[in-house]
Amino acid sequence: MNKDRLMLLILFFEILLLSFVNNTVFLALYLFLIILLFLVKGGEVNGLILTIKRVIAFSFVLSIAFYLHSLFTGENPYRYILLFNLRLFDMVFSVLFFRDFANPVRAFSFSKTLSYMFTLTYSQIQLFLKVHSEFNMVMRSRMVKSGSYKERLLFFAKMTEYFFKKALRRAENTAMAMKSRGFFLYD
Amino acid sequence: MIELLDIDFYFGKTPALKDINITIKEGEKIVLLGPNGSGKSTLLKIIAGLIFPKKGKYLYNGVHINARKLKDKEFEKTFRKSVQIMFQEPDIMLFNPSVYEEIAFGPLLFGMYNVEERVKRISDLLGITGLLKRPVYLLSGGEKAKVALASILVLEPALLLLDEPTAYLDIKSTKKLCGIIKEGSFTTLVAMHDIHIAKHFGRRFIVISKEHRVVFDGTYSELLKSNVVENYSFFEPEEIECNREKAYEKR
Amino acid sequence: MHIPDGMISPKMYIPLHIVNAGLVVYGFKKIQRKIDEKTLPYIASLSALSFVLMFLQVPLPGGTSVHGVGVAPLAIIFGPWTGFVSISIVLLVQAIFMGVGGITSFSVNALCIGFFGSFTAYYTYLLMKKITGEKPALFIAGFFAIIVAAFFIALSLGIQPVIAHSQDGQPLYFPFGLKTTIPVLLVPHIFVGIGEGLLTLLIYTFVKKRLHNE
Ligand SMILES: Nc1ncnc2c1ncn2[C@@H]1O[C@H](COP(=O)(O)OP(=O)(O)O)[C@@H](O)[C@H]1O
Ligand SMILES: [Mg+2]
Repeated sequence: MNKDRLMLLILFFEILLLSFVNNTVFLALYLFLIILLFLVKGGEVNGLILTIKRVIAFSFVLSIAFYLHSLFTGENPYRYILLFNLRLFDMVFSVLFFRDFANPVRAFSFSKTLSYMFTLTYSQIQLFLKVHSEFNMVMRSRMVKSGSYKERLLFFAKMTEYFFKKALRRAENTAMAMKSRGFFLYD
Repeated sequence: MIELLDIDFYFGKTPALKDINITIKEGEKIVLLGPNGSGKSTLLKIIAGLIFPKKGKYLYNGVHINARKLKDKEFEKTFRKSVQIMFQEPDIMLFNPSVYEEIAFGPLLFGMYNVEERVKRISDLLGITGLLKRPVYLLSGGEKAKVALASILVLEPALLLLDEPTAYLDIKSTKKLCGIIKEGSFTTLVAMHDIHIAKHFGRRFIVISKEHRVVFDGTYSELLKSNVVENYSFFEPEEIECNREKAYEKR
Repeated sequence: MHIPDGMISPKMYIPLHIVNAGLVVYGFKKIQRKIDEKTLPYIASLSALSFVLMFLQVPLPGGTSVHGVGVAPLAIIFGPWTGFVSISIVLLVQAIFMGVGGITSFSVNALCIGFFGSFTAYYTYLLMKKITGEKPALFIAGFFAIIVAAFFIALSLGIQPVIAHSQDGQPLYFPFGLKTTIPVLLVPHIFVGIGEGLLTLLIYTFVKKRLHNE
């Protein structure tokens, strides 16, 4: 078994464990250990902060909502707030750890289809993200954002058309590229 | 080795190639020139047996290549191994988890021996040995182009089709690539639109016009003398070269 | 719209993961029967497309804009199974590669948005086209796809306190019941639904014809 697949198995085990355990002391200890391990192994602090940013709004809203709710029911809100936040961050950091220190595509290579699917999808997502941000820059530099409704609509239509056509042509070309490399010759 | 006879190709109703007649002998180094949209990529895909002409015939070593012929898996195997194409967007060719697996994919599939050694040799040649363990989806455009190139060169194909291979490459890698083509025993057909880079990539030049027809077929010096350069202003006739300004007199 | 990790109890996500995996494999095979070798790159491409559709801002008169999700145009143009499989793949890629959404909540997201969203969009469109004509049908299909998806998400979250709580009645995963989740999720999703309706209408009228010209 390769290292990546082992790490995937460990991740599944971690997630399963974290979703069954409701002991806040255990969850807090786990959080401390996974962050420590992440930093010791040379993980980027930026990645850590970015990951926190992604879920902080959700965590904040749910915490406040439950606090307000508890004012009416009279129960002690802190145990639940602590529990769900710890579990959320435990899981999110486990995934971050896996993503940064394993090759996720290789980890899923027990299913060839899935691992090819991931590479093709993720490569194209990166391309689309780049093009999308370029479209936004064009929109700003050509003042489409403040233009007439018709102009904005037209720009929107052009942009979506580009993505649809690109997606379909790319699918077509990728199929050809795979064929020319002999992909479909042996199953 | 290759005979293209009266070939027409359409995408729906959009024409992409018209009346194409080209014969290519083994070992020839050919450059395919033409403006964007003239049909270069389409022609390479036809030669690679990936799409089939609506009219006309394509013969590879005397065998008529069409959808029916390629249904024969044994034939398809030998054909695919000997004809390799690098696409204009090299990243669509990459689907393996790591660079090593990407380059080894073809050799393993076609049952070549010494796969590890072959992969190592080709990656040394292209200067990507340091990337072998990396996942392909995290590479830059230029790195992806080199990996795509390595994955097809490693198969030692008889016919190498390259679709604007220098688009993502820096000067150093471009020079390396034209060296590989010059030294290699394979037949090459390289699509390009920049004549100044193109002149290093072959001895025979074929020009396709905006109207999707072959308008020139000859050597570089003939090309410069011909009216193609003036009529099809997609390339500048002048070489861009530094002047020999003398800052000091020779002693 | 995606639920993050930690909100769904294992009692629910384990069986749903299995159901979702089964449906994805079934859907993939179904598409494969039609387009054979092209299936893998086709689904990969449409997954990336569905990813970018979630980002698009649909312009509204007066300088503002709304978001859709992109599930309805995908399902109506390419079919509900294609829509569902693509959205499942993109949610998985987002959860694993980009840390968006979650691993435990993956199947709830994929089934609610991808499965119920796609099939609602597709069949609403087919039904309404006969009654209201094409353009209103597109809008309504997009709108209902989101409302139905949001309803199922509200349902999945809202039953958590019932199916999973500690002995003294404390919630363990998601704390609020159906009485809260249904209005809290459905009301804001009316706007997302309008966005999705417009997105569907615009994409179908502007883009679909041009795709067929090729
Ligand atoms: N998949 C496709 N669908 C429809 N039209 C296409 C497709 N691929 C290429 N074309 C059209 O065919 C013509 C030739 O294209 P191509 O062979 O890519 O030219 P080149 O490689 O010389 O730039 C162009 O007009 C192009 O728009
Ligand atoms: Mg081209």
